[in-house]
Amino acid sequence: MDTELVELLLIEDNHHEAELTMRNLKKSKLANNMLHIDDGKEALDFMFNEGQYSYNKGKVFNPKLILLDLKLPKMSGIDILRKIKKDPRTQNIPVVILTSSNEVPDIDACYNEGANSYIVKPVNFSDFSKIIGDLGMYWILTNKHPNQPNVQM
Amino acid sequence: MTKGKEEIGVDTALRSFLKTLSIYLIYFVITLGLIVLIGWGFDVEFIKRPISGLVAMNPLTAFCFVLYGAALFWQERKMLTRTLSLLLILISSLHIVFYLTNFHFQVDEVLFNKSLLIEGEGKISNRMALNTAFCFMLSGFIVVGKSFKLNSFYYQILAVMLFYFANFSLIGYAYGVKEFYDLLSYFPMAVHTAIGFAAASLAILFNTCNIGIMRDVTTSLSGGKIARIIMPLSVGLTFFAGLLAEMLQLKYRTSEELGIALAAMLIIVSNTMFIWLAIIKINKKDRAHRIAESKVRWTDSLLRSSIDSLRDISIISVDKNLRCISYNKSFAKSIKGIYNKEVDIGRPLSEIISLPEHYEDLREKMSSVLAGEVITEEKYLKSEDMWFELRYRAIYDHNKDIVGVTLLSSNATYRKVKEAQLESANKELEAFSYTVAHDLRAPLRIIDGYLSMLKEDLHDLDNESQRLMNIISNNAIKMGVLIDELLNFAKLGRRDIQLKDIDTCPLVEEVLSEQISVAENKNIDVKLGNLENMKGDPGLMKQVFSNLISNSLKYSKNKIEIIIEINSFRSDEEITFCVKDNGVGFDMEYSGKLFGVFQRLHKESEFEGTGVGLATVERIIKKHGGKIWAESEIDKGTTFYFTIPTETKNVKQRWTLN
Repeated sequence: MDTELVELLLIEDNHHEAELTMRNLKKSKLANNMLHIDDGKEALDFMFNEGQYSYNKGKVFNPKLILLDLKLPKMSGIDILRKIKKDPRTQNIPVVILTSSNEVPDIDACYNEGANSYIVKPVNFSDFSKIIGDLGMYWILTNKHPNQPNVQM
Repeated sequence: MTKGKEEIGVDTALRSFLKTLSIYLIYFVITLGLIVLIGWGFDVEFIKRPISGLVAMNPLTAFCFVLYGAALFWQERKMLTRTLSLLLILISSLHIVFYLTNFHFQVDEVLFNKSLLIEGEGKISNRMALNTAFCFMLSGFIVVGKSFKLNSFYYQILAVMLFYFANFSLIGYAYGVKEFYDLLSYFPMAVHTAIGFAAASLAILFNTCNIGIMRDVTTSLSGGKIARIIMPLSVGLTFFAGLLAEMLQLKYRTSEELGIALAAMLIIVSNTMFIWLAIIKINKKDRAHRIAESKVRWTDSLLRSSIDSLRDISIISVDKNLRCISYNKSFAKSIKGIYNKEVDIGRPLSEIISLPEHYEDLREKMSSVLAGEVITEEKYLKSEDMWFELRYRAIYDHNKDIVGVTLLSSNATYRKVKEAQLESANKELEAFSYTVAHDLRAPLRIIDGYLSMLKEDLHDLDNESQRLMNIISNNAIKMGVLIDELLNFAKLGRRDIQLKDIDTCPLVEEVLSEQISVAENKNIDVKLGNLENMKGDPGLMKQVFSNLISNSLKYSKNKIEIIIEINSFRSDEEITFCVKDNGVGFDMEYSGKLFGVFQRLHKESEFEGTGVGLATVERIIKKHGGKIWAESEIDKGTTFYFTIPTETKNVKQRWTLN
């Protein structure tokens, strides 16, 4: 997929969870330019046009939102968040943590690493639908998005 | 007595009395000398010679008394007192030399030459007697000795000798010794001279009553007490015995031998009686002392054997100079094992703990303890691969002053290993609950999510299918709630509570507004009583009220009007809170199950719930050091009571490691 076209990147290893999230986003008509990647390393490669995505060289990755799960195999959500927020090319991109963990240490760690929001996924689907809908509306439609960084990838 | 140590058995009152008395005796000696000098000046016979026919006090003698008194009076001015006493020695020794060489220059003639010449015409010599001169020489030496701070024993002995000389003359006069009247005309001293010397000698002895041979006489110990009774009695009775013999001879013309025999007899009787008296008194004290001593020995050996029996605690006590004053076998054994050193009473700690870095650390800790600190620490000894718990405690004397340090060392290896195991178990548990939180919820969300997706996609579901799907969905959601509550409950066990001052009333009002907004029955009457403020963990206490109030609302939902009363009472030790409702209540027979996890007293179909809420409340209250109970009557309502201690000391603080 073309790096420049992605408006929303969902990083989530569980495909069923991802499907639930995407379905709700679709319901709110926000899933047009959405990309789901189920692996942390691959997600970073995609952002920086590396590895299997090196064909995208020169294209700028500037989505309106990254939805990030914490518990991912190999590279954890926190590691990905740290890499995004450390890199000048991606640090302005809003990152919303979408997780099942309600643990205080996780919440604190995410904000320390520069997460823009932290959302605990409820078990109840109707609550979950509402949260995803609101969240998509807010970050993609309402929120004023930072200017496109003039960094060549 | 070494300096700094307290003298035992001091009779302070007696000593200060004797010191005062010695000053009056000095005044007396000076006054005596001056009066006699005046007597010579104005030629007053009575003053010169109180007993007619006997010797008069020589003016030089009087002068010497003044000299002696002045020397004693100005003891503090060393130069003056030494000059005066040396002058006294000079005069008296010159007098003796002239006397013995029959050289006819008499010092006293310089003073009152005319009067003396007149007197000299009589039978009795009025020159200063030889023994008087000798006594003045003694006096001079006494004052010099005292002034030069010689061993008090020497000048006190001289003072006692002086006292004996004076007494000899006094006794002689009392018994009418005829030699005093004629034969040894150069020997006797005048009666007031003898009194003067007696006073002079006592002045010295009383003045130095706290040192030398006088020290024991003035103590409150039995020896001192006995001496103070027996000495004057013995002197008096012996004197009386002689007097009696004399009187018998004079008045009843008995033979001289009978008088002597009687006197000797009286002296024997009195002395044996006194000695018996002394023996009885001393033995009585000694017996008591020995009993006390054996008691002390017994206590000592008891203590000894009990500290030696402590195999797993090593004990050593040191004094302020870090010298060993006591230790137990276990300590000696460990020292032998670790440093290959012998422990002994009196040995400095630096020789026992031979590793300099160990000693330095110990010395530092001990000086802090000597300064009043209490230290408990844990140390790892690499060479032994062991953990030790070291407790440093101060030793106090009867004045509550710190005089040393006791170090108790025990093997803490087992506990440390267990603690480490506990810690890793806790870590594992934490990781476990984290996994539970994250991974158990995801499948539930997927069940509910996919079910909802199915419901959305299938538009014309019949009622039964919808009912079945709802049951699946509800149970998935319920299990999510259960997981949350259980995790919360488990976390409570590990969490340390943060005690803060809590304003109870706003807290309860906040909980009420939250709870009432979600309550099914909106006809709710809340009665808030006087809510006492408390010390507790605000977050946890909010949860307590929240759980209890939601509980009350839940079990009262079928009532037309819900009445909830919240109140509190304060006593000295605790605050009791109560939350009362008019709900369905429960059977008190099952009250034991009320606070158990997953224990429920009502059917799920009647009142939904997980059975974790009250267990959580109980755990929070217990963490605060309080207790919780309930009283209920079926269909009348339930009242929950819980207490929170007013003092934080009741809350068990976790023992933290250094």
